[in-house]
Amino acid sequence: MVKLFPLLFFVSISFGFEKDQEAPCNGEKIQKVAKKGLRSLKISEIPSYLVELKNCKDKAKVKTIKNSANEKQLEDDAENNKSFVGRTSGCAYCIMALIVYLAFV
Amino acid sequence: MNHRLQSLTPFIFWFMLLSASLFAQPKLSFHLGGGFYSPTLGMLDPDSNNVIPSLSAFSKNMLIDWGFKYQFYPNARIGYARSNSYHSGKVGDSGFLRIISYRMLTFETFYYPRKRMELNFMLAPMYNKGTVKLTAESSSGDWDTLLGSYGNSSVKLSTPGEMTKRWFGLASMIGFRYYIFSWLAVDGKAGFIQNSYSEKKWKLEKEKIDGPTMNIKKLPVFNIHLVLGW
Repeated sequence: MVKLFPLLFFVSISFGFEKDQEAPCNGEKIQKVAKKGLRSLKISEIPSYLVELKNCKDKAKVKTIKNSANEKQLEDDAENNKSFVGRTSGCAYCIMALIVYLAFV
Repeated sequence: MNHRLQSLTPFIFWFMLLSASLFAQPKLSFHLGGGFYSPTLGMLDPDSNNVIPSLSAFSKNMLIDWGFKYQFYPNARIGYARSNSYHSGKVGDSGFLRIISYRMLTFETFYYPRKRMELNFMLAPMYNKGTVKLTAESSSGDWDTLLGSYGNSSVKLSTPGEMTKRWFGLASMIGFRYYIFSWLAVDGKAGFIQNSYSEKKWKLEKEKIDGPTMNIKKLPVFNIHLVLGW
């Protein structure tokens, strides 16, 4: 397992150096995040996204990009997981019943 | 040919796992944290067994937790988590180390009642392990004779030995998670760990022996974790 970390590190770095020199504050990954949220990025795309943010010289804009990406993702997550029906809720009720039983017996 | 295929199997497995992680959106999360519980350690407690070294609150009541989870369905995650309890000291001149490891295969469902806030419900079959290790330092006459022939003085050799025991259990917990960022959260859980532990059939160097009489059948547990995830 430990032997895999250098390989993972190397692959991440090699993907991380794909950078858009033309418009670093408006790169491909930044646009993708703005449209689809942070979690639309694959793990292999995260280094590229971070490099694009690092290459953007306008620090105020970087902060805005990060905050809006974070807020959008939190809103999407809340929207996608607000309903709790079917098997997942059934499983939760079983766990609650088990805990209540263990607490009183 | 068959042997070659066998030796390639782990490589293919890890390659596929690594590729899937890198080129998919795996929704993986990792957690690190601690827990609080109050077991009756029986003969592993210095109050009931004067051979055992003194026990701090950290060794008796605290757990060190880590694990990872994979969201396989919009409201559900599976994963592996581990809670370890450590106690170290000296028994006579030997080093003593006791580890109780609660190893869980977690299944968790969750939902967001409000933005940033998550309620989760976890059920986890467990395969736990208890280890008691003694490391004795002693000199060996035969080694001293051999080393002496090369002009060395006598040396102390450490001889470790450990007794182990495995048992099944079940953890059930309810948790509340607050997302500081979409990729960083604090998670608190409360629930119970049930264990099917018996003091019989501990193993020491393939010998079956009797172990400590711990009363850990039903334990209330509180955990707090820092969760990092993508």
